[in-house]
Amino acid sequence: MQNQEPTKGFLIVASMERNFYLYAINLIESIKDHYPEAQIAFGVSEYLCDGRESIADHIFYVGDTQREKLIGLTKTPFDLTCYLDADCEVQHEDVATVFDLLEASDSDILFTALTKEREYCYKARTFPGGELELCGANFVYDNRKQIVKDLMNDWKDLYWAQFYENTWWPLNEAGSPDFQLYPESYKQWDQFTLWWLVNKVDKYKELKYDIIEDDARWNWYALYIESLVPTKGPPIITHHSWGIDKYNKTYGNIG
Amino acid sequence: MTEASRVWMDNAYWENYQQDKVKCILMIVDENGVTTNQQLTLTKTAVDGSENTDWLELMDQVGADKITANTTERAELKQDQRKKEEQEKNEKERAQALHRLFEAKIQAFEIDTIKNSTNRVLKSKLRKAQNLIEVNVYSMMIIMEDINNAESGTD
Repeated sequence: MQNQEPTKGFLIVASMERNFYLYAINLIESIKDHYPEAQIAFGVSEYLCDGRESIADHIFYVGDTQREKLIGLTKTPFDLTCYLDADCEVQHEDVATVFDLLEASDSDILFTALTKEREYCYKARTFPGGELELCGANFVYDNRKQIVKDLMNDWKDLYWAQFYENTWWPLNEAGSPDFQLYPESYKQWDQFTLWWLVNKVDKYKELKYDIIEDDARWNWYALYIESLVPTKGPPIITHHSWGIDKYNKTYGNIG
Repeated sequence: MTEASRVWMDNAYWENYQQDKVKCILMIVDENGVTTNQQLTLTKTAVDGSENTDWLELMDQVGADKITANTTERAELKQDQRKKEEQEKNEKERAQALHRLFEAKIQAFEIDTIKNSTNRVLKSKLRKAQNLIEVNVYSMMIIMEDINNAESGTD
């Protein structure tokens, strides 16, 4: 029996704010501009739709929180999925190589990185108990792997418990929420949840993940300063991170 | 305060090209072992033309060659720093322009005529516009096409 070729596509999610919908439409169009054969799944809050969402190949509706992305990740229709934050824009044909990079690697997931050198663009990265290194904004994952499916489900469930339901936070020896090592201000960040899962949960020690080569090209924050973030080529995906005080401050999300 | 020792730090540099004015730090340790650093600007001679003993002591301890080398090194460092600051300023401005460009494109695609245009080529060019002028030009072309189509009764 022949091995079946995995399905491949991009996943975009837009919820709550109309701007996210506009950004997402722009992103989808920009993917198709540079990679016309690309398959796109779009998770969107139904009340944001004005018809333009029909450019996506698969549409599913999500709720109205800021983190519907985490639900979207569990609903991808593709085996190999490249998730992109809605406020990104594809600017280079190399975007078509993203699935080849995953297949050529030994990894279940390829992330972009949060690094010390790029810290001037992040709202938060280090805390007494560790430092965020994986960027959950743009990444490609193999959803055929059970451990990856589990990670996406746990990421969603744990974040909901951490932030919306307020029923989980790491505990200290006295059995209280450990805000010394893990500041309360990190509760809002789903990237903290990702950090916790891959660093502290035994099950995910088996997870194979890596940083995509020349990763800044795949998540080029518009405020990156070129001389401080060297790359081997022009940006493939520019990230315009929503919610920034545009010209003076850092981004409104982690990365 | 009684001075137990006076040491001129070896990082002194010339303040002028004539090399008769120098910026330096004098480290004084008093009889109780307390150290005080004084940042000084010394001139070769006093106002009345007499010899400056501090100057002579500095030249004896650190030497003119070392001060010249420090001055050259400092000038290079300052120049590098200025270049780096200038580069970062330019790149930051470029990043800001990129963000403004992105917002302008999003706004353009909110214009009904552009939103509803079926001309993928022009819409793609608008998305790939590299500056605000291109955004305006491609927006205008899409709108003009719509007007022309309406006048000729085609779509």
